[in-house]
Amino acid sequence: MDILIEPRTDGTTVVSLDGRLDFVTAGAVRQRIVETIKDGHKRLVVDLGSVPFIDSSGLGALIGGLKAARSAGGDLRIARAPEQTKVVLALTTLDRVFTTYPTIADAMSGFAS
Amino acid sequence: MKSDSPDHSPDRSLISEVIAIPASPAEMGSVHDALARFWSGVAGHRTRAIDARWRAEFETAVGEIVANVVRHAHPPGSAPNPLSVTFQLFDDRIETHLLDHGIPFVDPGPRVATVHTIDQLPEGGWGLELARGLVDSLLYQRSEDGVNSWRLVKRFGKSETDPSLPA
Repeated sequence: MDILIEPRTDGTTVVSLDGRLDFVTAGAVRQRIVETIKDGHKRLVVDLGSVPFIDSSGLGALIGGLKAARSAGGDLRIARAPEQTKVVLALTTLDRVFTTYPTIADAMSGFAS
Repeated sequence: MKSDSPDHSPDRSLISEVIAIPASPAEMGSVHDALARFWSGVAGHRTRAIDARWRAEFETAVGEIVANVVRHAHPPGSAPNPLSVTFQLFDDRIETHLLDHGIPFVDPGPRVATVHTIDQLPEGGWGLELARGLVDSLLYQRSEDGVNSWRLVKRFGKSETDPSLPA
């Protein structure tokens, strides 16, 4: 799992993940997201476009990140969720908790509004 | 391992894919690779493509059960035991069988979902429940000689089997 943190000029930060987000990688991803928030980046867009598979542990990492972002007065949004991620979000009804966007730009503009 | 036969019964698999790996987190890539090979074989055996959502549900369930075996059937510090994973395509369903020699599985029971706030969202422990909701049958057995056996069955829906519907 590769994790790329990219602060943008509008105050949002894109967290790009590349690889499976599962029980093997969830801990590291959650920790990285929490550290990013502690560094002052609380408006996060998590790009899942290169995440071919997510399991309940991976979703748990995103939940942890969402909690941390909201506690800091920010938010965590998901962009480019693949079909398998959408299935997991819908079946767990977490699609009511996470706001998902088709593109990173859409997610960023969502923060601006 | 493939078996091609023009005269098959519903109980006889059309194709199968088998892998034997150490039950280790490092081997999860092998499981996903085997799944990808299996789907390539499935595509060659079916005139009607399987819905992307159906496939996502199936693969999610497989991932959760394999993760459960790797994480919980093998105590920390112990050498990873062998795990075999078999995918089988039938006329009306796909089955996955897992065999491992780890410690017995103990069902933790369903988690009560009374979430009212974000802070109450559980961050883990619901993978098995998720898997159960994604397949038609999920069975666990422990043999007398210490082999754990998981069997997942997911049946094709109407859109995958009704010839009157567009492919």
